[in-house]
Amino acid sequence: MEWLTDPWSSEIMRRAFAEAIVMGATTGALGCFVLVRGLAFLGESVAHTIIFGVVVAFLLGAPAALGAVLAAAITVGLASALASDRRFSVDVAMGVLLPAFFGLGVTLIALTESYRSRLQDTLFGAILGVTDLDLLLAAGVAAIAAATLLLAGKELVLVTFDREMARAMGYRIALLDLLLFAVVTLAAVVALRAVGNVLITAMLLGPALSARLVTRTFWPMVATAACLGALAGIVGLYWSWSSSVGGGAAIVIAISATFAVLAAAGPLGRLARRRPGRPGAVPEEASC
Amino acid sequence: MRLILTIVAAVLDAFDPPFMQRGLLVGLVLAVPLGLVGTWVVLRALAFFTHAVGVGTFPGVVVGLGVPAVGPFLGALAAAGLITAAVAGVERDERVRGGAVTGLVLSTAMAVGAILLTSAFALSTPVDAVLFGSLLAATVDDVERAAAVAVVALVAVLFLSQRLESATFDRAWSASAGARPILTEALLLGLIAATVVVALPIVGSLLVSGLLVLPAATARLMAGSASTMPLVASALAALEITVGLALARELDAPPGAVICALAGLGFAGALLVERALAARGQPS
Amino acid sequence: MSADAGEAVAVEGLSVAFGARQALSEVSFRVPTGAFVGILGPNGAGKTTLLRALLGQLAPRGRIAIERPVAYVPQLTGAGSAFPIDALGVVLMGFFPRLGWWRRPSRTDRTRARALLDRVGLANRAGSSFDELSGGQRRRVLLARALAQEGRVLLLDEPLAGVDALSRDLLLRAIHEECASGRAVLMTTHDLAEAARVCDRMLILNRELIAQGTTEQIFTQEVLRRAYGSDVLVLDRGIAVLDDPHHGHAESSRWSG
Repeated sequence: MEWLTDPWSSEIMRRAFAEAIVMGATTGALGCFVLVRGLAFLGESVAHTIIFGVVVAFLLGAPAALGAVLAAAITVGLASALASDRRFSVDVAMGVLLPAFFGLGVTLIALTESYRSRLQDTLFGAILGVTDLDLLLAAGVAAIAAATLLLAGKELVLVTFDREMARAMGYRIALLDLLLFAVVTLAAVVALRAVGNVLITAMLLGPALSARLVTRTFWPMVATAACLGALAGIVGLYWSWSSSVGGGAAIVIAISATFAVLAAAGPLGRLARRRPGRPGAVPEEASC
Repeated sequence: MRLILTIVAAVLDAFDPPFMQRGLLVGLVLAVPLGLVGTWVVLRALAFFTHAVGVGTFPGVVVGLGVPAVGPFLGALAAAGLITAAVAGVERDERVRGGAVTGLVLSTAMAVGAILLTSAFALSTPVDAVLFGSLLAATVDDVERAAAVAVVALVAVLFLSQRLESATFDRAWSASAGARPILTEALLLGLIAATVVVALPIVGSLLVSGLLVLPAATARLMAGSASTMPLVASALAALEITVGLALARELDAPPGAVICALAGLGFAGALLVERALAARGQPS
Repeated sequence: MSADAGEAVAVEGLSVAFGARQALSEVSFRVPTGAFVGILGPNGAGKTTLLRALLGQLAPRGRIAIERPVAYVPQLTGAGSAFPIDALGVVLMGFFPRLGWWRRPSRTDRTRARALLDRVGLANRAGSSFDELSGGQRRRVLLARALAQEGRVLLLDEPLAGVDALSRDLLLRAIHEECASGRAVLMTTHDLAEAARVCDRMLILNRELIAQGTTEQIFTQEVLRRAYGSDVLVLDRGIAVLDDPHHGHAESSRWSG
């Protein structure tokens, strides 16, 4: 049973495991909201535009996280503005913002000698290089996410599945949307350390997709996604430890493999899946 | 005026070396399908699909580079075909609308590519070139392939444009009138995949979607009909690729990034001009 | 089975099932040329399914004899409105099926398209973006497109719902002109009173055919009750009070006898 305990003897791996478990659970849980609201392309776009924010922050000597969050905010703002123009769908708005900002970001990185070498890490993550500070941030974000779900969970679910009802009940929809967006962005920014910009979409969507195949209502889905996210992190890192495969990539493969297996076990999944029209059941993606 | 002349002179200068000229040739030929196909990507909201196909070619190119018998082109082609079929099949299912499975698929493709890169193949081509394009990558074969796709795109769009127009505007009527929108749409997806594959050497997997979306989106601001959009989009693509390649050489930055950054600025510029004209009360 | 000389549509034993759900069951009817038929029924009665079957989009049991091409005006969706096209362009689409989808419309076609726009009162809006037109104007343009198809049969899906008065009048005038020149027009509607006002024949559908015939024959208490349940009350020939459980309000209207 040595292979089970071996990795834990390494301090680097212990940190990596901690990061993977905490971020896997957090992004897995929050990803359920991203999934249900059909925000996959938005998530992917934000992940890419964040690079621009990080580089600019680096050049200005500001903290990277600040640049990331600002870039995310700008992306969402511009996306809404563009999509409100009838000539452009939300899809095209993302299709414009992603390459434009990503291109700008990569160009800046190419011009910045000290950053060029970090491009690969930025794209694919460097979970084995996780520091105590990273772990602290991860724990912090996880706490924020948990608190948000505990305190505002019901409201967030209402706004997600029945906006009209929420509006009628007097909830400030814009505020709740903003809260959700802020928490998801924070989680994404911190998770970038583990898996990098091009892989983070898997961490947000994969566990949620898998969970949806085996649960019928929303909160069990969230819990299942959190567990699957953490589990995939552990499995991925084991694989990474025993081979030359990078940590981030390994985790993503673990996530996708889980989904593929569960999806292929179709009949079982279909039995457990929700019936349409039930309140509290997991309906189709609502658009935000 | 003098500024423009200086820029033009600098750009022409940049294309002295043969490799730059090859790159430019590929780019200019590419402008044709980029404008034609990009128009429909924008009008039919296929940007996410295009991005997924682009990113999905990454593992294919890695395999192609690692196995010389296959080569990057065939590797990209196979990967593009696979992803097109997968995403098209998945997105038809209403249960998973919203692109979630597409998002997972493209992330997985990146992961697979990264793993192949580090463990299976030791490549002489740097990863940057695959992801963001390279000035040195364009070969004569690439020019020929781009030309082939350009011709196919021209003929196809000529043949399909009225079907596409009616299916996009009113799918229900189009089907009732015998236009077979499903077939038309499938052909369009194939065209997108082909265009993506031949544009890869210049701009790389991660940014190729920008080339299909940005010039066409800018054209949407400027052109009023589905028949003039492709012309404007192609012209913009040609301009942005030309200046982008020259600038990329100057800055020693990957061409894909520079071209997309330029194209983004072009879009922003067109938007601002339109706003300014509207504020002054003039028709755009 | 084929349609008789004076018939535009003949349907026999039409049944359509989607999985376990029976959408239409043994529907049979005939439509003479020049008729204006209202297809009525509550929500879920199978009206749209019937239209799709008539358009040849389904593979149902039973037989349908209908002269193709069948011109079609679908319900308005918001989807098409973001497409860059002007009113003339939309009408020109109506020529595509006959031209073959790759041949461009000729100058003559453009003139004919303008004439069709004129028929629906939009001659001066030929160059307007479809986007900019009001709901009623858009409906008129879509009718002009259907007229361009020059089918013997014209199918309209809820053409008058929520349309302004002027558009309604122009739409009905064009429809009556078509009927006068021998085309059969079938329109689905959930507006009972409206159908009674403008159609000369009716089909009442609720998965099966409840009744068919001329308006006078149909608009009786027993027929309506069979179709809509006990929610219909015909007070006298001039007024019908309809309490529609699906809309939850009472609607009264008058038609001239």
